[in-house]
Amino acid sequence: MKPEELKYNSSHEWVGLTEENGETIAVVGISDFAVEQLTDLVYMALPSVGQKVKAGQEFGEVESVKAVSPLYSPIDGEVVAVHSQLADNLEKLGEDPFGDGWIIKVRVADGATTDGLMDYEAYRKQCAQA
Amino acid sequence: MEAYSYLDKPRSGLMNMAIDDAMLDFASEHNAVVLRLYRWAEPTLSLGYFQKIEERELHEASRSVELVRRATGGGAIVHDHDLTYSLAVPQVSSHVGAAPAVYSAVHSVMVEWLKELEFSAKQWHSIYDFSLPSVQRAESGKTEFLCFQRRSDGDVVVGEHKIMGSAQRRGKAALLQHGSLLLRSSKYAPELPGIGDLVRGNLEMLANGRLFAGEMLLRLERGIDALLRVRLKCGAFLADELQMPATDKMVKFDAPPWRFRA
Repeated sequence: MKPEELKYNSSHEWVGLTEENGETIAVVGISDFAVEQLTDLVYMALPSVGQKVKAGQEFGEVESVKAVSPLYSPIDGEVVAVHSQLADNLEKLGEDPFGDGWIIKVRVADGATTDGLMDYEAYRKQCAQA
Repeated sequence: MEAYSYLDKPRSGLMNMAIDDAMLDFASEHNAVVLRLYRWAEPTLSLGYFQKIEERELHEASRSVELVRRATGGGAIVHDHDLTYSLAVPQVSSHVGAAPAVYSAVHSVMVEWLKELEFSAKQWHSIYDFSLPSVQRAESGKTEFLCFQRRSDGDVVVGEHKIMGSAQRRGKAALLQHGSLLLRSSKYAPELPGIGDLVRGNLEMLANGRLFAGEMLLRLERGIDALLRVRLKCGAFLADELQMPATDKMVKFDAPPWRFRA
């Protein structure tokens, strides 16, 4: 997915919307900025397919050297796919954070939008100020 | 920003973890720094957040002690003759991952103090020490079970022995860091010496537990005051204030999916 076309929350998760079989599916990952800040990734905990997620609430965690950091869902919905191979191949997050480093896919809940999230430009501005 | 510190009484492992969690909420809700120094009411093994329960079988000496799981990562710690601190700091930026300055602030004041007590303490850095293993990635299968048998940059060592380590967990609006200083070896982890077992050093203060803990709290306060530009004041009231929210949180830390995660 092209980072310029994605939306971002303040905790560095990105979301891209796609249409599959008449449903809106959100693909969720973490940005290159986040991966760089996390440095050496050691473990990742992911949700299960079927789990409900809510915007701003935790859906998983990642452990980098010396710190556990939560992952926050950018949108409401239900998890329909989990990139389960990622936990054993965490380098994918660094190699391709906006593509093969995707983390979960979410069937977007009725009425849920990404309107409240940052666009690419605003997100980069936030990163620059960090 | 308000800032409080206090020396807590020994509590159960579940309550200690729950209070640490409650501190995170307090820090974000009140925009306040909280520092707590505590001990454990009984010998307890705390697993790192991502350690699998079956890993416990790797360490026979500690199998009989009470078990909790921390919210922070890293390896397992046997809490028996140690002093543990926890620090909750309101988060002012949108950073992810570790906040190394907080580790450094705590570990550097501890090294300074230990040196005054005539221990040859220093912060370990992988780039300078080829005789000890650096942190191994999980996929290599070489990660040690016990936290104090691992090394991360910044850990406090005396000679070849790690005697203090810390770990962090990010919350939505606050950061929790906690760590333990090994005072003496435990029969539940006999391979790990504490500073009291390392004869090169001034052990007189260590003989008076309350005095030692009081001085450790003072030293930690200095480091945190300097880093965060606050002035930690007496937070004894927090021992009661955090009790109720912590009691509610004990359910989370006691729940089998958390405690016995595979």
